[in-house]
Order: sequence, then C-alpha cells, then structure tokens
Amino acid sequence: MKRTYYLLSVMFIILSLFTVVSAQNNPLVIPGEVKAMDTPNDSADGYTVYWPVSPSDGEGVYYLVSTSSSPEGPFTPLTRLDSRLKLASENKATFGFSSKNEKLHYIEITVPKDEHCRPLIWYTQIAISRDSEVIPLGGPVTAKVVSNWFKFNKFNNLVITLFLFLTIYYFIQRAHKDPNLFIRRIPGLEAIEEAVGRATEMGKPLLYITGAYDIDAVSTIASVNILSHVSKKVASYDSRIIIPCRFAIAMTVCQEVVKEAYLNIGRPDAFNVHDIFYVTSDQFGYTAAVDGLMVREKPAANFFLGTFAAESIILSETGASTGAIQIAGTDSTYQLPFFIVSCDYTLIGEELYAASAYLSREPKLLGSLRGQDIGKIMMVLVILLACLLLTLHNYFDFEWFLFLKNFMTAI
Amino acid sequence: MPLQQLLGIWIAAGLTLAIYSFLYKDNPAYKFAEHIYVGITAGYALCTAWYNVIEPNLISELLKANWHNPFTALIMTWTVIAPALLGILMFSRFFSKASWVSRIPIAFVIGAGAGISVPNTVQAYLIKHTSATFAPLIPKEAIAWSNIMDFINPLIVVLGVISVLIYFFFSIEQKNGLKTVSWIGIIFLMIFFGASFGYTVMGRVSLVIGRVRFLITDWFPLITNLLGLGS
Repeated sequence: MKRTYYLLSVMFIILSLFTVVSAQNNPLVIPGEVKAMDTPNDSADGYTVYWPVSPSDGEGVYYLVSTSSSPEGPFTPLTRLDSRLKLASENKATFGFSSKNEKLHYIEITVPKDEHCRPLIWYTQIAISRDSEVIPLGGPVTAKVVSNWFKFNKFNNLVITLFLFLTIYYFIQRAHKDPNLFIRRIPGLEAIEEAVGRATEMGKPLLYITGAYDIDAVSTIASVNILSHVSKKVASYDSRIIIPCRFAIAMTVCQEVVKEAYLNIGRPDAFNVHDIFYVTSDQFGYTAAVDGLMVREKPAANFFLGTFAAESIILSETGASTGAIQIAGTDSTYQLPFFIVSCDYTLIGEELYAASAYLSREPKLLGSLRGQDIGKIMMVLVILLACLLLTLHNYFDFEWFLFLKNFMTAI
Repeated sequence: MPLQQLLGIWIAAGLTLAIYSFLYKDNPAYKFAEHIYVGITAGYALCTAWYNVIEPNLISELLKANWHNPFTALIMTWTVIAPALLGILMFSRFFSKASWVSRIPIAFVIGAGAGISVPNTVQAYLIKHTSATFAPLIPKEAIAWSNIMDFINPLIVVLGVISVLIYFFFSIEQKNGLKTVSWIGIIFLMIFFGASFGYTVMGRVSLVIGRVRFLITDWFPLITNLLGLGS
C-alpha cells in the first residue's frame, strides 16, 4: 500500500514537471504582421491596431501594449491583454461581419492632441509575453488619424429613418387631400365627452395632468394635443379645468393651449389662468400636492395623460377614492398596469399618440399615424424574413442568409 | 446622540407619520407635511438650478471671458449667451402685450426635444427591439424534452411581438383574422402587465419596509428611552 502511494506520488510529480517543462520548451509563436488603421466612425479620437491570433494564445499568455511619441521610444506600457480575449469579431462597427475576424486581436489606441486639438503622431508597440518571456511583434506601428464625417455603423438608422420619413410625408400629403383617413375607434377617447359632461352636471372641475416630463418629451406634446381638445369641450360646457404642472415651460404651454381653446369656442372671458399653475418639479412633492388637491376639490374627472413614473398608482388610487371618472394614457409600460387597475379607461402605449390624431383630425397627425402603421407592417415583414433566413442558415451555411441580421445589428 | 441627529429623527418620523395619516383621510397633519414638502422641494429645485446650471454654465463662463476684447468674448461665449437670451424671453409672459415672445423659446424646446428623440427612438425602439426578436425558428439541434424551451421560446417571442404590433394598427378596422391576432396581442400585453405589476409592487413594499424599519430602529428607541423603558 505504502509502495503504491509512493509510486503514484512520484508519477504525479514527474507528470507535472513534464507538463511544465514541455510548456517552457514550447516557444511563443509570433503571429503575423501587426497593422494599424484609423478607427472608423470617430472624430479623430485614435486608431485601431490589429494582429492575427497566435497558436500560443491561451492561459498565461498576454499581449503587452505600449505607446510612444517616437518610433525609437521610449515606450510607455499602456495595457496588458489576455490572449484569449479582444477578438475583432466582437467589434462589428470597426471590422464588419467577416468570420475571419475571429482570427484577429485588436486594440483601440486613443491619440493625444495638440493645443489646436489636432491628433499627434503616436506609435504603438505590441509584444507577446508569457511569464518573464517577452517577444515584440515586429516594429512599432501607427496610422493617420482622421475625423470621419459619417458613422457608417449607423447607416441602418439612416435607411430606416428615411423610409419612415418618406412614408409619413407621403401620407401627410394624402391626408391633406382626404382628411377622412380611417382611424379605428379608441374606446378611452369616447369617454372624454362623458367625463366633461359629468363634471358639468355635478358642478365640479376636471383635473388634467400632463405627466412627469417637461414639454420636450414627445408624450407631453401628445398630452398637450389632447388637452386642447378637452379644453374646447370644457369651454363649450362652461365647466372648469385644473392643471397642476411639474415644469414651468409645460405650464406655460398648457396656459397657451387652454387659452386658445377658450378663444376658439368664443369664451375668452371664462378662461382662468390661475387654474393652470406650477407646483414643484419634485416627483413626490408634486404627487403629495395633487393628492391633496384631489381630496379637497373633488374633481368629477381626472385625466392622467403623458409619461409617468412611480407616482402613477398614488395619483390614480387617490383619484379613484374620490369617486372621479378617470382616463389615463401613458407610454411608460411599467406604469400601465397601475392605471389599468385604478382608472376607468386607459390608453395603452401608442394609443396616447394616436389619440391626438383621432381627436384633432389634423392632417399632419393623421398622416404620421398612417405612416407609422406602414412602418409597423415593415417591421413585421423584416422580423418574419430575418427569422426565416436564420432558420435556413442553420441548415445551409450561406453567409448571405445573415445579411438582414447583420444590417440590423451593425450598431 | 447629538442634538441635530435627535431632532432630525423626530422631524423625519413626524413627517412620515403625517404623510401616512392620509391613508385614513385628509387632515391638518397631512396638509402641514404636504405644504412643507412642496415648499422645500420647490426651493431646493431653484437652488439646484442656480448652483448646477446657471452659476457654472452661464455666470462663471461669462466671467471667465476676456471682456476687454468684446468681439472675441462674444464669439467665445455665444453658446451660453444664446440659451440665456432664450431663457430671458420666457419672462415676457409677465407683460401681456409681449407675452407672445415667450413662444420662441417654447418652440425651440419642443422642436429640439422632438428632433433629438427621432434618432434615439429609431435606435432604441425600432432597431434594437426588432433585431432582438430575430432567432431561428427551428433549432439546429434535434428537439428533445431537455431543450424543448429553446424551440418554444423564439416562437413565443416572434408571435408576441407580431401580435402586439398588430394590436397597435390604427389604420385598419380590426375584424375577422386581424381581430384574432390582435386579441392574442392583448393577451400578451396583459401577461406582461400582470408580471410588471407584481414586480413593481415588490419594489414598493421594500420602500414601505424601509420607512417602517426607520420608525422601529431609529425612532422607537428614542421613545422607549424617553419613557425610561430602554434596556
């Protein structure tokens, strides 16, 4: 037993020594030539150095990167790359989609600039290392750094934006010629008339909230469009609308919109600027104030239209407790469930944007909505086609089957 | 315990209880806390705007410029002067005859906001979401019970995305086959809303736990010590 133990131990030691010695005897293989090119899609920030993978790549093998202002040096160590990482295939924006990129290492070098913000000539030296052994991969390299006018990796954005732009433009022109473009019924909107009528009958005001963002948010702009329609109803029914605002500019816009609605209906005298007021821009400070307003003024109808955050449930629950009819609409997907459970009608996501077109019948909005629908059809077709091509790629290994996926992921 | 900390705990506990008293009904304690909250946050927002925006981005930039050479100084600081002028135009609302001037900065803000959001929306909502849906519908490997979900998941994702997109078609009357697909879309939406509701409620419960823990660990010991019941 003892002999076996000794025998096994000796074998283990011999094996481990053999492995270490053979690893030491296995010399580091210098891969091919190191090259440098200007980093594309940047504003003269630097250049990219790349070189082929080495057969020696593996655990304990590193690439040492050092830089200098002169090809003669001295070179300052910049970083140490694990030879198993940093493959060019990970950086599609620079190297594209070729399968050969899996055989290349790369590093992006940021070049210092002079006092006129012009990039300096900067040299990079790459060396392969294992333990104390360091072998330079050829001489230092550099590349001319230029500022790029165009980000080619965002080309897909341009194509899709142009497609949508042209489609929407076409349908806006069509809506100008035919203002009766069809839009399907949106149930929550038909309740607006009911809500204003109820408030008038009860002699109580309506409360309107444009959301948690300032007027530069698209959802707030959509909300203000709906506010215009609601205020016209309020003015014609001689009711009252209260709008507590979280942002000064949003408040100013709401005042303008409501004032114009009263003017259009021919009741400028009934407009009260003090019903549209600033509270505070703090999320929960605003919520506390609006909650207090709800229980004191007891509005007959509450409108929550815009983007909301954690305050959504606090506002809508308080509104529900006062017995008000509540209409909500938001593009904040995480707040929608709270509105659905506590409001009478909820506009889900894009219905908020469709609502302003539905109510105003404004050709620009109608055309945009129709154009966006065409965009959705395009997306459905792209998804189906891409899934089909990827499925085929599993069975027939043609590179071009991936073109759609590559086009959509080149970012 | 230092006096400031002691006072801080009592004020925080009092305001917490005053705000929670709204769960019973509106009352003077809630009104008091609400007005303090609104006043402090509005004042704080003003100070933040001054110290984080106006002072560093406008005042100090203007003071840094070499006004002995006004032309060069104007050229160097126009990027802060132009927004400042737009901001000043907002004050025209105090003068009824000139209040229309305030529409210029408002138009700038709305236009810039909408314009900036176009490429961001295309990138974040169209391209990223669409490309995330791409998947081979039949996996390369043989289908077995052990990898059945690899087969089902892409189908669910593609069906969910397409049916929800069809629910949001506004240009077509939803009837017959379209109505069925749209109905599937609603089911997907409701499943998401249910999951999201549960997830968010858990987050809110943790907020309540934080407040209750503060009352129990920081405030209760003060009371017990006051009453001589502390250990």
